[in-house]
Amino acid sequence: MKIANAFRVDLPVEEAWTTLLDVPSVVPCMPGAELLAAEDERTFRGRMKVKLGPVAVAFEGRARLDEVDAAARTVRVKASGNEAKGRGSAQADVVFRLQPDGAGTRVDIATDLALAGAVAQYGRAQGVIADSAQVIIDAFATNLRAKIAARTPPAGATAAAPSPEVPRAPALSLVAVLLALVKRWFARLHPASR
Amino acid sequence: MKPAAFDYHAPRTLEEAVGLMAALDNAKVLAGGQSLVPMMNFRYVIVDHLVDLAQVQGLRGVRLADGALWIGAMTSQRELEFSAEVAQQCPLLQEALTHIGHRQTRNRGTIGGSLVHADPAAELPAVCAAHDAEIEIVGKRGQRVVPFQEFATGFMATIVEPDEIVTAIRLPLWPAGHAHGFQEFARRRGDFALAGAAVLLDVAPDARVRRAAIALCGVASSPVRLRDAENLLTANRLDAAAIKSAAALARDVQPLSDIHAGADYRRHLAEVMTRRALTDAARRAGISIAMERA
Amino acid sequence: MSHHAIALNVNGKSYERTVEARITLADFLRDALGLTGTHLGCEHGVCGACTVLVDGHTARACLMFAVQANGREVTTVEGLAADGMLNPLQQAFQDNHGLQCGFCTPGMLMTLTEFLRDHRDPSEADVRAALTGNLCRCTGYAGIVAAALDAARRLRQEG
Repeated sequence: MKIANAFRVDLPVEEAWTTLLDVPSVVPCMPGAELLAAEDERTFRGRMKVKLGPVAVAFEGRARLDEVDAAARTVRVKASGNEAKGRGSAQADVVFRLQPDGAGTRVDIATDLALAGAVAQYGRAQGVIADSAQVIIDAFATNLRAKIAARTPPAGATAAAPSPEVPRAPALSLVAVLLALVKRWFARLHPASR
Repeated sequence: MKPAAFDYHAPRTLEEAVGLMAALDNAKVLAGGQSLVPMMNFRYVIVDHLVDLAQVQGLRGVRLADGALWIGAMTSQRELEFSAEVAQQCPLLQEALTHIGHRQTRNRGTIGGSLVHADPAAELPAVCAAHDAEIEIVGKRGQRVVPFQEFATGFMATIVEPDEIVTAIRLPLWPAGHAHGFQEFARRRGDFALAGAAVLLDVAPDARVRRAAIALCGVASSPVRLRDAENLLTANRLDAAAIKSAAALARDVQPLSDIHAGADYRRHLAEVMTRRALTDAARRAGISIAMERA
Repeated sequence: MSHHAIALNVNGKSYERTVEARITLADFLRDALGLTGTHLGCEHGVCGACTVLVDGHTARACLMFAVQANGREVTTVEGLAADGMLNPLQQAFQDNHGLQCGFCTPGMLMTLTEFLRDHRDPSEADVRAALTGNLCRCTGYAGIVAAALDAARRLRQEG
């Protein structure tokens, strides 16, 4: 199953590149993700929890930064994991591509996802898994932007800026994620009501 | 297959039930079990805790309150199917209920369970969409009332938080004598609808439509209101031509495609079910419509 | 996993047992009580072979947990015949060839027990609609429908 997603951050492309490659630092921004161990610079063991309607699944496995092309600003990640309760497995071949987008960076994500076992039946309705992926990516982007904003000290500040709440990534239901998105969207549109 | 092991809880009060849902990890509410338990038997759903609401006081019953029909979330579909109050005040609900599963399903299934499970093909969410229902939800932070439009959030997902329980559904009443229609298409009676239409019409004696509500099930992640079709009908004379034009707007839906039906077929069914449900409603309003062969 | 003491009435007899939370009513009836007349065809609520009466209303025993039957009155197919004599519905099944392998039959009988209690003079269409929740792979339903209509007639005659 091929899924295409995209998101934007307000960082120049070089900075976005180094930020995203700092895997232990960005994993907490992904709802449902938990980093268990770094086996080497490029290989990580972790858990990913996702909720599809009434079904909550948790995958545990490995992700490896297989190809890192700094010139083209492209990373290929190969991940695979087993569902914690024996309901199948997942393999993902994900390509991240960063491009300058105005003053910021646009990140395009092309995922080739293969599900096996019981979990393969959950996305029976076309587009359900793709929609869910976009919701997760959007949440990731929102959290990442918040994290980046916290890093940049405001002009003239002497004390360290308080870090905004970066969700600790328990398995967020898609609902919670959607609500968070709607709230942030409104906040951006109506700054006075924040 | 057999479900995975879990702890069973049977609270007696709503406060106790909410407390359990807030405190327990990987817990689900057990209502009628007609949708949840099959998934547990397949081990699609694996829970550590089941919180059975069967003994919680105050979650059952049907009564009129403030221009709406108040229905406790744990009221069985059977009770609603045979309720004189429902038949009189919300005949659309009564008719939709007869399409839900089978006798055994309706004997134990509940209205709250069906809404929270939020199957795209389910009839009760479509009825709630047509009626602009309000959903009463209770959690750690107290009670909130959510319009049905905000309640359903996506594929088998609702706005209910892990610590929350749906306690009641309010169906705002339509004027006495209003017309209704419910049509669904399934390969066999009792199967999941491939597409269905729930219609409410308030028709004046001169056959002008004062108000219309059309909600489709089975064509998207959650029920779809056909606003354009409703607007087309409103303030105009209800006749076969109006029905045909309104039903044609059902083709604007973007249906899901799965092993049971492709998107094109669902789109076709959406139009036909809408036309049939509108025709039923028109007839109930005393307007004779020649039924087209379709 | 939690265990629970339950007390229930099955076919007029009282039972007290301790059960695991996850044991379905169907498995409880079959394994704990030895009442194997209730059959398991699909275990996901579509075939109806596990249909029993709970407090007089049909329920799919595979979709209920035994703990939920605490304090309830359950009737299974074993509770239909009295003193070794087939009741009118069962007799009608025998006389109208309403079964072949017999696997769906207990579910059919329980569904029809409730249906005929509530509908004294059903049409054939009514009977067919009532049986949508019970699947049969052998008979093609004709004998079952004939048996149901025959049973309705007998029950009307009984008064």
